[in-house]
Amino acid sequence: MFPFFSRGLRMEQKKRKLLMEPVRELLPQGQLLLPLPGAVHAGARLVKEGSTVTKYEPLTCPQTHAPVNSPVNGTIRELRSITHPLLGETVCAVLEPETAKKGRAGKLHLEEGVDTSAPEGILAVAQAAGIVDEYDGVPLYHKLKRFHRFGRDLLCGVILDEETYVCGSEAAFREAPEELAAGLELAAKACGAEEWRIAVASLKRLQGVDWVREHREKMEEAGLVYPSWAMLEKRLRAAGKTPERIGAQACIALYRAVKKGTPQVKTVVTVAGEQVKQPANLRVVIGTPLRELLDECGCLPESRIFVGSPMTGKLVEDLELPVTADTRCVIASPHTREIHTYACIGCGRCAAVCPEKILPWYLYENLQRGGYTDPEQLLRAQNCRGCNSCSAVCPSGISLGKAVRAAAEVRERSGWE
Amino acid sequence: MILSGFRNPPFLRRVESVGAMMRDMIFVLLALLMIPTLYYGPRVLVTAVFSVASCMAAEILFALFARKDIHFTELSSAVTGLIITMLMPAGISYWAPVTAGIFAVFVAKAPFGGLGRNPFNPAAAGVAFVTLLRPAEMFQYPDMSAGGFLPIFAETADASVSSPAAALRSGFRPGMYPLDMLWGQYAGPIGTTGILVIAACALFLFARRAADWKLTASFLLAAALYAAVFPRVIGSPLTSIKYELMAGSLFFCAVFMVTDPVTSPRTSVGKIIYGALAGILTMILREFGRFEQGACFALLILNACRPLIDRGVCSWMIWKEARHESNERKG
Repeated sequence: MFPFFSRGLRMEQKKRKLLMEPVRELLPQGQLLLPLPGAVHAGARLVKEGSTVTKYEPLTCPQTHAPVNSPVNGTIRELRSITHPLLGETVCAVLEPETAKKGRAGKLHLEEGVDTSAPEGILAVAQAAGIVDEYDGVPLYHKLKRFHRFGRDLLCGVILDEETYVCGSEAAFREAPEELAAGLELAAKACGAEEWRIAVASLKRLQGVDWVREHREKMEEAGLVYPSWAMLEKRLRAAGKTPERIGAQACIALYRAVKKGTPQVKTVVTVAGEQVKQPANLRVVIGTPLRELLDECGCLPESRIFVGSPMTGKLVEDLELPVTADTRCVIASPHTREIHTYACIGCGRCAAVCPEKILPWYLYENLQRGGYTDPEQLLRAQNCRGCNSCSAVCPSGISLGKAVRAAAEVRERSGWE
Repeated sequence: MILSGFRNPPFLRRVESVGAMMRDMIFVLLALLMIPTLYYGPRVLVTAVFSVASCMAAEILFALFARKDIHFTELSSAVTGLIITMLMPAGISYWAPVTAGIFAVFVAKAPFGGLGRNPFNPAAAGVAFVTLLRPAEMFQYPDMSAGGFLPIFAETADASVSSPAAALRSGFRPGMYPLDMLWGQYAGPIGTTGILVIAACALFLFARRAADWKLTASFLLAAALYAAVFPRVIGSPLTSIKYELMAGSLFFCAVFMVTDPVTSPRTSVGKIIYGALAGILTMILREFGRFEQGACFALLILNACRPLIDRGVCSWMIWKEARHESNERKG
């Protein structure tokens, strides 16, 4: 396609070298800082300062979020409140791992009589294992329940690493494709979807994987245009399906929770960027401070670090903050001089790139005017996916994504559906 | 390359800055300047230097006057200066580009808030201003049939030829074949005669997304349609289209001025409406107006309608959305 006709954004991949190497295991060196989302009140916590915990023991039982399981044997030193760029304000447990080499063998804490072959049983396991989708940070059991409620017929396990650098999910998939497929099958069963597919950004990149060649009919190619899920979803909807997605790492975690009885305590994170000497995909324990990841890969000092994803990630000032399940990457880039932002010059690239055909410049203009904003004027703002493509292409460097989200909020407040 | 000097996500972005767009424009305009330089001599380059320098000086002067920061990285005043040069006849005395440049930046651009906020195309405003001041000089083209270059500092010779646009205006057929006009060896404003080179520039700008093809296409189509329906030369409609599109500054304006993103509508439908209206208005001004070129004036008039066109298109979309919504609620 000609560049001026296509929607979406093509990004530099910069991950050939990253994908050649296997995922490296990174063992935590010191204390872990385990975020306990949804456990602000003491009632939702199962531990207090000074408690000793065993491996895979649940630390919380929150109402609205997945519980957190302890990754190691150890002692809770402190409960601290932190502001995490991805989670917001959260209570964290400072966990001191036990130095004794031989750990007690742990197992997932499940209620008696749960049948893991039934949909309800799978959901219960997904909840108890504390599985969180790495793409959006939503607990897996929430997502599966919602899909069941809406009656979705196609469940996609997504490995959509079309952004620059990030390829943690793809690396995890290369290691255990059959586990992902099995986990996805379990998830499809749990949410009542008739079909399941594995959605990848580029099939060409996965040619070397035998499993992919043998199960070609189970694969869907979304293309390397960001946001590829939006493009794939549109295509599948046009074919009469109601697709939904769950992350690849969440699928693998679900398989392991059901078959092996281990909760999700680790995640694969891409550590890359111009300031990183040896970029790598690291399998790390959730709660490991970011500093340990960056030290492992040789990050130069004086870097700007951001976590999450290249397009929607957040800047991190404090490197003692922990890795979470939805930390897909940690990127270190050099400090550059601040880029001057200009007024909107009206090039219309933001509207051309938007997968939902929103007019970001128009919303921005409406909000800039100040005073009362008529929600009716905020055309299609409620459809925003938060992909930030508009901000990325803006030649004036305006944060259009922020403006669109603000517009969507205005619309929502006025009761627009 | 990837940049990361932003305060808000995404922190990695491609270098698609205003500066890069303007650099593309300048690159293309400089390439376009080569043919007239070979044809008329170095006087063309001196005109360009005067014009660009006056635009930049006006920008600095205004920044000092209004106590604002100057951001030269955007380079938009250089683009304005080069476009003004392209629309001047080769032998014109230097006061014209200087006046046009100062008017363009000091009156039509900077007071409105600079790049991105100017309602009128600065280059069009500058050229229109000078045209109104000295119409006779603006349409006097030096006679180059004798060979040689124009003198750099002396006033140019009185010998002047009439352009194909002037011939069309008087109802005659221009004294050359359309095929010869493609190469640009005929009387007309400096940068507007090399049709083939301009077309190549257009392709480059479209591919780099520095200009929108919808504007150029609708402008040219509307002008061609007008030329076919109301021909000024005797012959088939096709002959009329060929002469009308290639004579004068029309083709240049279609590529470099109508596509100015700041002063053209931002919606796709709006772009097509704007381009078509500009094309028709240009042709009307050419046929019934006082001057042989009408594009700058047509553009200025339509620039004023730009917010109206966008508003109309957006209101139409909002109406469609509301209707869709109410239909869904009913059904």
